[in-house]
Amino acid sequence: MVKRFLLSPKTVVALICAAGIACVIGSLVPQLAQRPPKFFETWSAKNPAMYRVIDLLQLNQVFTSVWFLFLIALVASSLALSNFYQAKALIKSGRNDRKGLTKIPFRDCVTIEAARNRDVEPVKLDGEIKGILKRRGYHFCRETGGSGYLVFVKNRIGRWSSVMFHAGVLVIIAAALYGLAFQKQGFVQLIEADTFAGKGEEWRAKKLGVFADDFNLDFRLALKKFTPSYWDTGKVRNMEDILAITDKKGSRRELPASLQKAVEFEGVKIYQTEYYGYSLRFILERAGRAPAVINLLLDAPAKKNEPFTGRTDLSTTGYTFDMKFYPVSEPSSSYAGNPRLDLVVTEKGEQRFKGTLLLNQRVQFGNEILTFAQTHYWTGVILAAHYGMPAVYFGFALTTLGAIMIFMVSYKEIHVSIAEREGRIQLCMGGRSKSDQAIFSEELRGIAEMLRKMMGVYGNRSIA
Amino acid sequence: METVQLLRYEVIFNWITLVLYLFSSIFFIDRALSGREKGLKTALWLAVIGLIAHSIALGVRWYAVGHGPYLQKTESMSSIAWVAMAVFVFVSYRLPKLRGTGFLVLPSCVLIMVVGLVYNQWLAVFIGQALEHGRLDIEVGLYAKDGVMKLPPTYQGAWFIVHVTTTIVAMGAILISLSTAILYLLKSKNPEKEFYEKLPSLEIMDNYSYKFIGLGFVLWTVMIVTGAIWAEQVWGSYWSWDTIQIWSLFTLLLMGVYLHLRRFFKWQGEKSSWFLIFCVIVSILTLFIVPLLLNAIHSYVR
Repeated sequence: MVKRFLLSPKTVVALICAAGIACVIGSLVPQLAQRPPKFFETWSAKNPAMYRVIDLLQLNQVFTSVWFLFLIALVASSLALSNFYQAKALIKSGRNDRKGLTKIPFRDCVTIEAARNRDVEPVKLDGEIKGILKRRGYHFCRETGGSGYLVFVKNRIGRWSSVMFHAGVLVIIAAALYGLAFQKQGFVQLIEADTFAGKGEEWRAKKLGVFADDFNLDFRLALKKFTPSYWDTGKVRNMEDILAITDKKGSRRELPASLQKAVEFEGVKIYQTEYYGYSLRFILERAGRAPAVINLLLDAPAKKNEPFTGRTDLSTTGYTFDMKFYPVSEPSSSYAGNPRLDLVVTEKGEQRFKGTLLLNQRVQFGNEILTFAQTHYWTGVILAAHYGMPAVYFGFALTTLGAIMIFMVSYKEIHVSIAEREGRIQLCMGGRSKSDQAIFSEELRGIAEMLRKMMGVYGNRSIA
Repeated sequence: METVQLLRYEVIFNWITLVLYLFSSIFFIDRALSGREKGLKTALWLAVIGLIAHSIALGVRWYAVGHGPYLQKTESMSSIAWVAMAVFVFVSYRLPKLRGTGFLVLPSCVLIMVVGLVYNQWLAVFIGQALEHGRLDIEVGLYAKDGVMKLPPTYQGAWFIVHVTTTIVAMGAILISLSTAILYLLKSKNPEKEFYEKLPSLEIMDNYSYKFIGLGFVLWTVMIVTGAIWAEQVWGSYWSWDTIQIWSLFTLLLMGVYLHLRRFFKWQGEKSSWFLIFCVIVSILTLFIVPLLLNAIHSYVR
């Protein structure tokens, strides 16, 4: 019953449609994974009844919802079953072919007749037919015992195309589910010369699979050097960095990475992201207290010569820093070539300082002294422990090959029988194709025309 | 030669292309509507000369900007039109009976090129200048919007090139399948007119629609797979349910439904042609409209 349901063409089409509808819902309804929590809080407050329904049906997290996973499980079961039976049938028919047990349907049969004469030797005729079909890409496969049919095939591998395509999809689904269950991914902002230990709070964001334990690295990671390069239009061309990795035993390795080249260490892949900027270090000295070290991160501008900007509220001091940092001041300015910072410090809306600071410069406002101590690049890096990736790639390869084979190398079979009747030679030709029936019928007619010409040659000889 | 000078030549060849395609379209549409067959050869020759001019324009741009014509919308639109035309010319040469598909391929190419030009405001600036100064100044609009865009760092890998190339070729194949499907519907309504009489039989036309959408399906699959590999290498995740990824998958599923309906439920002929047209509309939505309306990774390039 279940088997029949999963193998039914109606079920197959319904499942594909259901998956398609889920995709559309997932793209139209805002998803929890793609919007900030505040968006959903506002939505829920504005329209509680509607949001409750959406939340209940998990339409705000379609691709991780119970019903979507159930649908995927159904699709996978249907794929697995249909593939199993398709493969079984193909193996059986291959075996029957070899034994000559396959019944040959002679639908759309073309019959060609010619006069029998001494020149027409069955062996020679066989050779001519094989030659003509070979020119059309058909290879002689076998001669069925007893019935005397010659069987020619084209794109024999094409018989497995559908199985390959669907097996590929199945492998991708299985590998994706496995990956979803155990994946570990984290984002971190690395500052030049600082070290990331890969534990707890140091992660800026983490994404863990349902069955994954916490993501802790067995090595320490440091950004030794970061180098952005630019096109002449001022836009970023590439970002390259040298990562210093120290393993558990304390041995250190340096690996070059870039946006095009992720690096892998102990099963963890490290991806350079497009995020980068400058980290500015300040030292704030306040009367009666120990000096405080403040690190502030600025985002990169859209173009090379624009300043790195940022605004940060310092909760410990009550100050707000508004910053515009020029790593290299314009030649026209009095600071030409030097890094400079245009800084505005406010406290509860009241301006405390406004001016330009050079590196190592100290400024005093009130009882406090601020030193612009250091600048370094920072860059965003994604670390990921993927699960099932080789299977995903294998699935990709199978799916692609299968799809190419379904349409480009579809299996075709031509059968030719040679018979003698009342002093005449009669050729009967039929065939079958997995797709393109009408185009295949036209091809058959073309081949029949070639055979007819060949038979004509024999006939003429006979007359001569 | 300077980039500006090279792009000036590109603009000239783009306009020659557009004019030739436009004349060829008029010929094809006239023949399709009147049902006469005479003059199709002229239309085809205009299209071939247009394709040569188009190839030169694309080649010049490639040389001038230093990357393939697939980054800015103007470039990708022009490439899609070029592929559709190249496929059409090839099909017309190999299967002369399918020449009639030009009545849809040619106007589509004109439309795609015009949309591409409008994206970069070339056409608007061109016409605007012409109205203002009373002359056609081909130099204007060269850097009308973004100028020449250089490849962003994430767009430099080999997988990205395969990804966009398959997208462009898939769109070309899909356009031809759309033409054969519409021709099927028109032929079934006007079987006695000369233009439609010269086309292959209804059964064969239906089969060609299936063949070309099949090619589109293969390329669409390769597009999704190579896109996923590229995403994995650049963003660390091969599938992130991005809007374009979702809509690409939806389009692929829809094509899958079409293929299954044909195979299991013998949906052929009129029903199948209408469904194919629906699939093509969705694929156009996915590639051109969704990135504009919904926030997606592919919205990066405008």
